[in-house]
Amino acid sequence: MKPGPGPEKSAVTPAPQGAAVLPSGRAVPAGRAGTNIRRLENRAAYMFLIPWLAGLFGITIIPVTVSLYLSFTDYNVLSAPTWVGLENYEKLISGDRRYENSLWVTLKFVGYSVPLVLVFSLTVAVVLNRGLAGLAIYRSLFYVPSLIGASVGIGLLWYQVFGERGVFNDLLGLFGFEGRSWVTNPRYALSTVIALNVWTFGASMVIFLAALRQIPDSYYEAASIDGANGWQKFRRITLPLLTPVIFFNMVLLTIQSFQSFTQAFVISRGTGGPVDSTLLYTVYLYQRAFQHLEMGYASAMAWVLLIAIALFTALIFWSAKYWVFYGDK
Amino acid sequence: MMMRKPFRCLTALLLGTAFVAGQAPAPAAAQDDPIAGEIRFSWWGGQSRNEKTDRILQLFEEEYPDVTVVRENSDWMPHWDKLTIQSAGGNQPCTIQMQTRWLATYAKPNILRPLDDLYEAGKLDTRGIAESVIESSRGDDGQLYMIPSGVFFFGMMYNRTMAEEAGMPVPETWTWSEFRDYLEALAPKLPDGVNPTHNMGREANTFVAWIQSNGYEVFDQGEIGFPVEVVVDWFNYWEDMRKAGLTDSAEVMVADLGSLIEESNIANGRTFITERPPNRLDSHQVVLDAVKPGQELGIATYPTGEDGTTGMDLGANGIAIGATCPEELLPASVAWINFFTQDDRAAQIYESDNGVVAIDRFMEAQKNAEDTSRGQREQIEVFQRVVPDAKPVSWPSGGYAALTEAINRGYDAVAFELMTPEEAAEQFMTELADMLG
Repeated sequence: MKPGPGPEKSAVTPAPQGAAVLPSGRAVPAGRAGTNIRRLENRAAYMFLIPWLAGLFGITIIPVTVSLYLSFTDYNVLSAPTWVGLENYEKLISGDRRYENSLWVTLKFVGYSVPLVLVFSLTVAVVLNRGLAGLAIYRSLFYVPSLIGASVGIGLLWYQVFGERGVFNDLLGLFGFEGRSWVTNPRYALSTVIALNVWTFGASMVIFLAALRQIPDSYYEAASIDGANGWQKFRRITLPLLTPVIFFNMVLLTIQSFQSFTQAFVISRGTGGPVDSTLLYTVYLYQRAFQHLEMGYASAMAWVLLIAIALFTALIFWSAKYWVFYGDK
Repeated sequence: MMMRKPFRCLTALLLGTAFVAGQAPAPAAAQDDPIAGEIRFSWWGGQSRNEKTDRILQLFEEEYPDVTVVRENSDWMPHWDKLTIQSAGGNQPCTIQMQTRWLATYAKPNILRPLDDLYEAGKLDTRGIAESVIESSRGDDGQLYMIPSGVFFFGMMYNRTMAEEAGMPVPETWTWSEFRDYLEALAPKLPDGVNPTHNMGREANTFVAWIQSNGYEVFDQGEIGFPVEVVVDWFNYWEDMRKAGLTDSAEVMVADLGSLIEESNIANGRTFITERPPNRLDSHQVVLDAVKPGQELGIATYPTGEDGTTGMDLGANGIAIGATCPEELLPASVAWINFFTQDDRAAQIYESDNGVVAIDRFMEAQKNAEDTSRGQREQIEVFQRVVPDAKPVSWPSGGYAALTEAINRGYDAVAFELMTPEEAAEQFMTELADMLG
């Protein structure tokens, strides 16, 4: 009779007690083993980190550092940069009318966009939280614009929708109103860009929806027993408990809005017009960098924007102690 | 700011290239080195030009089987943006479509390869190209950076059918005041909903014609060459017409500039006359044929000054060689330039698509060929008529982009009644001077 298969014989000598086994299966004495294993693990960790480190240094830290240097130079891309000290920053402060205008346009854009997105997304989230049939479908539909809203295609579509012969004017016509070219009139052009930004409320809405689900029903039941109506429940329970999420969304939206570029760029066809009415900070920065080839000046603008965003974010964080309720105080 | 060498003698082209061509030193190209390798060619243009260029490249690759050309096509502005970034990274294509308006920006030995050695050695074949046109392709440093292939001009496109139906044919020449009077008389005879003219107050090319027809230079030694009064008069001229209902509204004016041909008011029969490149006549006609069958577009010249002075700019398109092109790829690059500019079949396929072909015999052949389209034939005819009086602008580095940007913004502010013509003109001068550095 043929003997059955016995226990597999290890190719490696079994490790003595107290010894460690390397990933290769080789046993090493206890003292040396710890060091070797740590070294190997470290090496593996660094190997896994290399792609991330390459990205961090290659497309973040090094370019940011270089842009800081360039902000003190006159650099047109086609010739070597020349050191000009603080000249670019001085010009920003005192000598550029369009820069001042871009600041105001951006502040207006952020000032309208952020509250509108917050209100709109919260309202839709509250409505969807009422247990509608097909909630998942509605949630997906409302979320889609936030995925595609910043794309060039949607910008072009927006230009058509709000153009002289666009769908928006057709809708107005149904109610007897005469339309116009909204995107090419300086009085209304920024409003169309803001409207596009507000349309991309889906991401904030999903976060609000998740937060609404976390509020215990018992709070509302207790309020009902005490005779609270719907508005009172929203005002006294929902809103306070959502303030941490409102705070989170506000920080994200503020940073995003300051950096908003594609929508205004596409709708204005790269000009920030008409008459600089949609000249967001980033659009002007792009013009200076890639149309006027003033990389030094544009780098200075980028650093001012970075500082401005940091200051606004810090301001929101500072204000949080007055209006954000964490439920543990 | 350094100014590129003026190329006023470009207008000598009108005197007949056959005369000046005799002075061109370059005989047929003689290639000693192997013509092989993979080269890149970047150009600007839409679908129609892409197809023509591709057909020519296919012919070239058949003739030179050891050469492969990588096609890099972009729209007009992205072409320059891309070239800038490529130049910064040192990876320009070996062959690059270039234009005299942009030459001052890019004609530097670290961006484009000076071509004098190849030109003088006869490797670059320039037979039939007027010496004056070649001279216009030199940079600030006097070196040759481009081999011209076509000479372009700007003009206006109008609806010939509407003019004929109104019994008011467009004259071959007109002054600015005659142009206004013509539109005023024509307006009541136009179909409902048709604007007599697109408001060209923000159009850089028309503005250039205004400046030069008033006896000023656009740029003088790289600085602004005209006084602020010229700008005020320009703004007032168009404001008078806008307020008289002879132009489209300010909103439509902004929308129409840079619109796609399919969306443009002239191609849709909604405007009688506008500024459009003459080489695009056929493309516009195709759309008009679909929208308003039976109507015909034509090319009109810019109005002149009251004393008859013409202000039209003139320039050349051509091909340059990137400074980073490896030596071993130079023969293939030179062969491609020679083929594109000198081959009969290439000229026939291209049909003066990007400026009237720079070689006289090709121009005459295209004009007389039976299969030449009406638009291209008309372009050549108008070109031959207007070129003698054209005034090529000496564009400084970044000058064209700066002028366009400043006049767009300046006149928009006036048309939307956010500024007076005087305020906007002052702003225009300040911004233009700032952008010129």
